[in-house]
Amino acid sequence: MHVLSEIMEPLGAQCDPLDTLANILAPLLAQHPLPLLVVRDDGEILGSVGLEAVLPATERGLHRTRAGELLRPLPRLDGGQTALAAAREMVDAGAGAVLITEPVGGVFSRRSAPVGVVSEAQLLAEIGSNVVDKAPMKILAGHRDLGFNVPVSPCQRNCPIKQDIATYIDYVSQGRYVDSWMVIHETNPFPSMLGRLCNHPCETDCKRGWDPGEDPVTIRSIKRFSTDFAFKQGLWVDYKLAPAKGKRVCIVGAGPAGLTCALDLRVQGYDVVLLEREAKVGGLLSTSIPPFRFDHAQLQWELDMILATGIDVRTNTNVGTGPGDVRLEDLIDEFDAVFLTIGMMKGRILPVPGHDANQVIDAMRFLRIISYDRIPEHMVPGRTRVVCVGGGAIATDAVQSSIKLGCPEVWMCAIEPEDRLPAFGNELHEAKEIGLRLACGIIVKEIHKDASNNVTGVSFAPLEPLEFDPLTGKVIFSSVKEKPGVERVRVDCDYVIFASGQIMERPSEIAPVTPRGLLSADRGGHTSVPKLFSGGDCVQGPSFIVDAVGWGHRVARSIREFLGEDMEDDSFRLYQTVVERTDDHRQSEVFARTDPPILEASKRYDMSECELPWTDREAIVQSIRCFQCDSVHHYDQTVCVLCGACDDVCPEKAIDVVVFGEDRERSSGGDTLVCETSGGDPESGGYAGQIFINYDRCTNCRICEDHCPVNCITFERVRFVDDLMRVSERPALKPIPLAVAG
Amino acid sequence: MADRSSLDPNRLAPEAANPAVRDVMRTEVAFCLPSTPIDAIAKLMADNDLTELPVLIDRRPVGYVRSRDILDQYVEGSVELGGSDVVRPSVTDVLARDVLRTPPLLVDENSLLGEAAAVLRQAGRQLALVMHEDVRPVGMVTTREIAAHAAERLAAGAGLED
Repeated sequence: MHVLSEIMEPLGAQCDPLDTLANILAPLLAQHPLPLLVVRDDGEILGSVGLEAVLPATERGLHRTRAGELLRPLPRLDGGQTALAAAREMVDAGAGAVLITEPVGGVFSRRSAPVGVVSEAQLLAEIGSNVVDKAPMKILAGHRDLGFNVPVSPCQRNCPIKQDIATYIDYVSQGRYVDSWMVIHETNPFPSMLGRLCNHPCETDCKRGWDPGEDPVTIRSIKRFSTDFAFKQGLWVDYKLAPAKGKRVCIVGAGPAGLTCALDLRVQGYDVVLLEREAKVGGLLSTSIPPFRFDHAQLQWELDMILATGIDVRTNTNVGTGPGDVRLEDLIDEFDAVFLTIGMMKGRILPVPGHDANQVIDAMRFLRIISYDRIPEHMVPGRTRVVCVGGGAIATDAVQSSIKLGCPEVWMCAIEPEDRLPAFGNELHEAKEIGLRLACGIIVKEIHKDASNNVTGVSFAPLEPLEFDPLTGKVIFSSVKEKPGVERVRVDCDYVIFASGQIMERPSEIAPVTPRGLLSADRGGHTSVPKLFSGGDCVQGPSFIVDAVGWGHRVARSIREFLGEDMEDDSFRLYQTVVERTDDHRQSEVFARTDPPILEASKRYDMSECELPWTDREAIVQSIRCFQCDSVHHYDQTVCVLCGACDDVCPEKAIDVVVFGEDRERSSGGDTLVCETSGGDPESGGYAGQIFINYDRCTNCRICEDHCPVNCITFERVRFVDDLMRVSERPALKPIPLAVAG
Repeated sequence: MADRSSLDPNRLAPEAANPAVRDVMRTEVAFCLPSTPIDAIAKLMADNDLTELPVLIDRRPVGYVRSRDILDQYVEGSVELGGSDVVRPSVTDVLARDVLRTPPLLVDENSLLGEAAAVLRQAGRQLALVMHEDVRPVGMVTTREIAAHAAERLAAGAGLED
């Protein structure tokens, strides 16, 4: 039973009904949320006036509006009445408070006199006073800058385009797939591609995988899942375009780097002309990766979203020195900036004897021909026996494509041993399941051909065991030595595919090159030629799609800076922002990692996509495995008593409570200061100290939060945003436009 | 779009008497989800000195809850007063979605305080969410901020443009 006399506040300040709002504004604010009593000269309390009166008064003017004109009723209740009675009176009378009276005086002079006030805010506080579950209570803390006191999640730190992985995984775990997809789209214009083909450096550094016996979260496939969902729903990212800048940029090469850069610049209001020598955009995605790796309809969907921003695409346009080619020098003259991102689209054929036979082809050309739905010349499905020289991802794509085209005998021959092949292990396994034959530790020596210059076989020499660079994992070429006195191996075949490296085709003499034959540019894409930028595989050498997207973002920033934008102002920076306080105790340890299922081998003899989609349940279960490393401790410094309970119960030993004057062990190795508090002078019985966390150890189990005796620990989700890698801040959504949907 | 500010000289250099909302707003947005029980909303309102609380779904405003609606529920017996001596996980089954009002009141962070006050007055509301150009709430402006700004101007002896 809550009696009003127990919860009432003193009467507070009073005012006269003739006082203007301007006169009473200061006391109103001072005692808010308690209202001012409006009292007549004769002592009669007419009602109350609260801050809600300020808004109506702004229409007439605070100096011209009097308290008496805006007063609210103030019902009277005895102090012995209950809070429920007060609430009922407030609701019935439309009052913001009730006046509490108590009897005063002797027996004969006894009468009720006002002694206090109970306001609506006090009743709310009483209703909420028993709330112990803080989970649903949220504070969105604007742009509160944490000054990089807390570390960025390891997955995001390791991602070349700094995707906010913890956030999009969290959304999937809540069933909010579209939100997840939108977060991915902030930095990544190709989520369906990277959801299937990324080399996922994020998973390499996932904290979940740091524990012995644990596997990292299936980050890549979670990204694919939310993208599949958005695709099925027919959603479309509606990029907002900044006002036109009046500057023109030419991008040479419509691969992932060129398209990302084009999108970034277009969104910022630049006119972008995209030149592509192929008949279709997408670069390596469209012309070198066969359709059993991904859904080409989804690639087209993502390309359409980018091109719909108004990029001027000119396909079948080669930049070079040949007849009919566009000259790089002319582009530099015509445009305000030129970005060369031409990739390494030409495959290398090793100059061994017989390399000029009719049926010798490089893997890039082979895959490119297939991408146009044609069968390469000299290849007869059902009859041609194929040897592929090389052991990387391109080689696996080439051999799988050959098998799927109906070639009865397909060999992959590589210098590395099988366990050190550069191809992804799962792709190799898939290829072997459908009939690939593997020959490792051999080097190609000669291609045999008949009098008509047709291939009849390939000879290989067995190699001594190789040495590998411990840092890069690549072969040290000085260790490639043939085994002396061992006979060569001959493999009979009708067709040879070389997947032994790619070449950058220099488009012009003015484009600076390095001794390795790559274009010369810094990490931001700046070259030594004014107005000319360069990036992607043609600068870095063959790399991954996500690296190319990173190049696109970085070069877009360089071009914007070059064209006069101020990249040092506040709107363009790295920042960490608290987005919400959270009480999300997820049971991440319950589930083990699973990968998406693969189409059974007997059904993989055509170009159907090999990797099957997840069910909702599997995607949610896998996303729950995430430790949510973007959550950090928030200690309420005014409440913490430095008892050390959090330190004692932490199973990972990630917390150090350092109390001045006490000899406590500091063993976590953490240096992230999360709490600095004191309770009086330590010299005279008080305490003072600090709490440090080692976020490399913390697994976000929240046991510290559960065991804190004073409930001073909550957790906050922190979003780390790298503007450099961002296309736009939370683009809008709309259905696929009819014109595109067909 | 934020670029409206570049078109309107008042927004570029607002007068001290009528600053931009972003300069006076509260930068913390207290909010709840549709699934938040109303006793937790009462605590949020009391802790943050609010009479209205925005309801967001994934940071998108969908509506608001009024303190008077919680009081109504209390009178009807759907929620009880808590007590510090009793620790119970929840004292109500009524959630924000049951008392949700729409639409949420939104003002652009670049709009002027006078405009925001007029919007609040016309809608008969006490709180407006302040939105960044990308449709993300970055703050709140309530009667308290408007009153505090007016009081500051009065204390400084400056003119007040009502």
